[in-house]
Amino acid sequence: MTAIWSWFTTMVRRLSFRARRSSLDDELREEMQFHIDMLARDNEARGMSSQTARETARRQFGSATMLHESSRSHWSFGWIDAIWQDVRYSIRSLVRTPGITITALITLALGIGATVAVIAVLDATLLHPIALHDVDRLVTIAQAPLTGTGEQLAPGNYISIRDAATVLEDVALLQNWSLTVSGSGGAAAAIAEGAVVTPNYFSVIGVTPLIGRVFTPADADAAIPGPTVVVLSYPFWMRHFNGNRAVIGSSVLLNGMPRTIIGVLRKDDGFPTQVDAWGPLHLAANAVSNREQINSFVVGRLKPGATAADAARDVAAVQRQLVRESPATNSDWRFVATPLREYRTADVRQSVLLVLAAVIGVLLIACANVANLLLVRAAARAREIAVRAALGAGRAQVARQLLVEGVLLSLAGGVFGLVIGAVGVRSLKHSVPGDLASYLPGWNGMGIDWYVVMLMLGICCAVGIGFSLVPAWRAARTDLTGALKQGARGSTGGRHIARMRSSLVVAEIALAVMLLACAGLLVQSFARITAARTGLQPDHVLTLKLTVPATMDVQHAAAYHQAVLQRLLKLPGVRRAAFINLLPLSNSNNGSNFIPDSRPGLSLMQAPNAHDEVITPGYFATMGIPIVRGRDFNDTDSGVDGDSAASPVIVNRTLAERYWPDGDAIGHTIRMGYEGRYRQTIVGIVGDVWYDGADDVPGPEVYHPMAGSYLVGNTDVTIQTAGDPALMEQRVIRDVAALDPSVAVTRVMTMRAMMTRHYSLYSVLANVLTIFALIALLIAAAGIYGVVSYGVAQRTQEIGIRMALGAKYHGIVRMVLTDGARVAVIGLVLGLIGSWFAGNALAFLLYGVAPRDPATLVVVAAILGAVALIASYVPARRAGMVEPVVALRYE
Amino acid sequence: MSKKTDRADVLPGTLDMLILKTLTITSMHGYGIAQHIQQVSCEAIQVEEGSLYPSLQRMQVKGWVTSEWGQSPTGRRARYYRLTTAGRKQLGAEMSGFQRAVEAIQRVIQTV
Repeated sequence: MTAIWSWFTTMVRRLSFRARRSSLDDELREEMQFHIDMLARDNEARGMSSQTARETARRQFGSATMLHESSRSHWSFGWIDAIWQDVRYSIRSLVRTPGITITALITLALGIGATVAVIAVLDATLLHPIALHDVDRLVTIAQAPLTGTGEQLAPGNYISIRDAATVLEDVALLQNWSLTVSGSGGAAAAIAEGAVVTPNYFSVIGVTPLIGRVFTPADADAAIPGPTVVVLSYPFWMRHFNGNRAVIGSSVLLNGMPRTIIGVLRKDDGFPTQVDAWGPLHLAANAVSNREQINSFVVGRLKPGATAADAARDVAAVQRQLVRESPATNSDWRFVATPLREYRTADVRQSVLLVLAAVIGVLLIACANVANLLLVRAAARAREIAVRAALGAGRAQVARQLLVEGVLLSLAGGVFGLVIGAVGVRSLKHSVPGDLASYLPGWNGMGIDWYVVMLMLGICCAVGIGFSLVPAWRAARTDLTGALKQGARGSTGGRHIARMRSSLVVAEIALAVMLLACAGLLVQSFARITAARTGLQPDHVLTLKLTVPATMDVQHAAAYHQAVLQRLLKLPGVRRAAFINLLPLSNSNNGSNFIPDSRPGLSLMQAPNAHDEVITPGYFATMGIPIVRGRDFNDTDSGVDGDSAASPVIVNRTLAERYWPDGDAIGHTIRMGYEGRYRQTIVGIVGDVWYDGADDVPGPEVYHPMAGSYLVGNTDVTIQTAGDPALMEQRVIRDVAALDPSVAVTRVMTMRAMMTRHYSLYSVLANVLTIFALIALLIAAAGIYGVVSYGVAQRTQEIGIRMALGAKYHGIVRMVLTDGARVAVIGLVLGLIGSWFAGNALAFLLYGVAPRDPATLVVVAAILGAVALIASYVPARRAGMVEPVVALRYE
Repeated sequence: MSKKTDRADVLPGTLDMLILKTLTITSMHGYGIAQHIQQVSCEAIQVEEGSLYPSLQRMQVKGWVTSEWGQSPTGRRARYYRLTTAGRKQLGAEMSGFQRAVEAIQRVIQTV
C-alpha cells in the first residue's frame, strides 16, 4: 500500500517539476554556478591566480553540461518526453520534403478512407446491426419449411410457444400494418410503415419510451377493429410533429381513423427500425387455431443464462408436441429460434466480406506505395541518420524516430481518410433505395461512430509501423563510415533499395489487376442481369403505387379504381393502363399454393406454390406479356370468392405444361385459398414472366381478376405510354392525386428503373468495386512512375556514358521503358493468376459471365499495359533528354 | 597546495546515504554537503563535486529532501536542502543495508 502511495506521490512531484522545467533549469544553473564560485574562492585562498582558480574549480566540479542533463532527466518522464521530441522532429522533417509527404498523405487518405467506409458498412450490417440494449438476449422465432428458411410464424404457433416455452422469459408478436397518414385539411396523404404488436412487445425488446407510455393489455383489448392508441417512432415524431412534447393525447389520422398518441420512442430505439407508428394488437380468441397464415414476426427474450441454442431446442420440442397433437397442420414445418443479432445478416454476409477483402487490397496497395516513398526518403537521409548516430543517438533511438514519423504520417492521412470515408458512406446510403435499405436492420443507422474511429486509429498505427519497419531496420544497420563519406550514394544500398521498391510495385500491380478483374466481372453481371429476359416489354411502361385508406369501403374503392383507369386512359400519350396488386420485380413476393385437378390427392400443404397476382383486364397487353391460348379477363369476370367453378383464373405456360402436359389446360380447374376451398377454371394461358433474371426456369404463375374483390390497401398501376414513360410522370401523379387526396400515390417510376432497382445489390457492388479498382490503378501507376524514375536517377551516370558512346534518344527511352515493362509484366502475370482465384470467390455473385471470363482478363491486361506505359514514359523521356556531360558529372 | 592525489573512490551506491546523513546535521547547500563529506572523511572520500546534483534532484523527486532558496553567509543566494521524514526513513534503511553488506564482506575476508 505504501509502495503504491509513494509511487503516486513521486509521479505527482515529477509532473510538477516537469511543469516548471524552464524555471528549474535556471535555478539549477545558478546553483551550480554558486558551487563553482565557492570552489574558485577556495582555490584562490590556496594561492592560485584567479584565472587558474576558476579553471581548477571547473575541473573539480566536473562536466557541468552533463551533470545538468543528468539532473534534468529526473524532471521528465523518460519515454514520453522522448516520443514527444521524436514527434516534433518528425513534423519538421516531413515538412522539409513536401512532395513526398503530400503524395503519401493523399495515398493514405484514399486507402484509409475506403477502409473506413467499409468498416462502417461492416459495423452496420454484420457486427452491430441492431441498436437495442439487450439484443444479445433476444431471439426471433419462425417457422421454416423442412429445407429452407423462414422469418415469420403463424399466430396459433406463437400462442403455443408462448404458453409452453421454458427458457423464454416472454414472447411477443408483431404484424405488419400498412398505413396511410392523412394530412389535415385535405393535404395529400403519405404512406408510412406501421406495426401492431402484443402489449408486451416493448418490454420484451427492452425499450422504454421517451415521453408518454407504451401499451397495456387494456389497450390491446380495446383495439377492435383496429388500434385506438398509437406509439410513434422518434423520426416520425420529428417529421410530423416537430418534436413537440405536448403531442401526447392528441390524435393522428391513420388509415382514415383518428388514433390517440400515447407515447413516443427514443431516437434509435425500436425494432424494426423502419416502423413509424405502433399500435396494440388484439389477438382474437380463435387465433390459437390459426396456423395457416404465416404473417407474424415473433421475438422472445431469453431467461438469464439461457442461450439461443437452448431456445432452438425448446421450440423444436414445442413443435414436436404440436405434431403429436394434430399431425396435419404442423408436420411440414420446423420451428427455429435464431439470435436477433443475426437477423438477415446471412443475406449480405458474403457481399460485405467480399467488399472488405477488396478494400484490404486497396489499403495494402496504398501502404506499399507509402513504404516505397519512405524508403526513398530514408536513403536520401542516410547521411543525416549517420550523423545522428555518430553524435550519440542510439540506433534504437533513430529507428524509433522513424517509426514515430511513419505513425504520424499515417494518422494525418487517417484524419483525411475519415472525411473521405464519411463522404463514401453517405453516397452509399443514397445509392440504395429506401425500402431496400430498410430490409437490413442496421443500414439506416450506418455512420462513422466511435467504434469505427477507434478501429481506424488502430489501423493507422499498425499501418504506420508496418511501412516504417523497413526503413527503420535499415537505419539501425547503417554503415556509419560509408554513409558519412562525401558523395556516398552507397551503390550496394542503392541496388537493395531498388529491388525492394520493385518488389513492392510488383505486389501493387498484382493487387490492382485482381481488383480490376473483379470489378469487370461485377460490372458485366449487372449489365447482363438488367438486360436479362423478363417476359415483359418494359420499355414504354410507367408504374406507380396507390395506397387506399382502410376507411374506404369496398364499393367506394371499386368506383375509385375505375375512375383512375378512366382518367389515365384519357391522358394523351397513354395507350393502356391496368392494375395489379404487386408488380413483378418490385421486391415483393406473393405466393400461394394451388392444387391442380390433375393432382387431386394433394393437400394444400404439399401443393406446389405459384406466384399469385390479381389484375384488371388489359394487364397483359399493357406489360407486353403474350397471351398464348384462351383469353384475357373481361369486365364481367369476377374474383368473388365462392365455391362456384365459374371463377376464372389465368395461368402461365410453365404451369399449364407442367400439370397438363398432354392436353389443353383451358377448362381445367385448380383449387386455391384457405384449405383449397375455392375452385377456379382456367380460361387463358399467358407467357412466362421471369421474376428473378437468374432463374432459367420460371415458376408457376396464376392471375385472378380484380373485379369484385377490390382490396383496400396497396395496388400497383401499370401504364403503357406511346413515348418515353419518364416524361409522363408528373402529369400522371397530378391527375391521379387530384381524384382523391386521401389516397397516397407513391413509387412512381418507369418499369426499366424498377428493374434496375431490383438489382441494386449488383449495381452497388459493381460501383464500389470499380471505384476501388480505379483507386488501386491510380496508386499503382504512381508506384510504377516512382520506381522507374528512381531507376533513372540511379543510372544517370550509366546513361551519360551510353549517350557519350553514341546511344540516341530512342535507344535510351526504350531502355527505360523495358525496365518499367519488366515490373509491369511480372505484376500482371501474378495478378492474372490471383484473378483466377478471385473470380471463383466471386462466383456466387456473378450472372451471365464465367468467373474466369477470358475477355475480362484480356481487357484488364490491356488497361494495365496502357497505364504502365504512360507511367513509364514520362521518366523515360526525361532520361532520353539528359545531357551526357551533366550525367557524367552527376554523383 | 594541491589536494592528496590518492583518492578512495566513493563506494558505488552510497552517495545517497552520505548526502542524507550529512543533512541530518543541518540544512546545507550543495557546496556545503560536498565540503562536509570531504572534511569528515579526512579527505579520504573525494566526491566529484558536481555529481551531487543529479542525486539531489533524484532525491527531491522521490521526496527524501526538499529545498528552498536562502542566503549564504557570504550574502549570495544559495539553495539549501533539508531532510524530510521520508528521507530519514530512507537513511535508516540504507544504513542498515550498508551495515549488512559490510558485515558480509568482513566475514568473507576474515575466513582464512
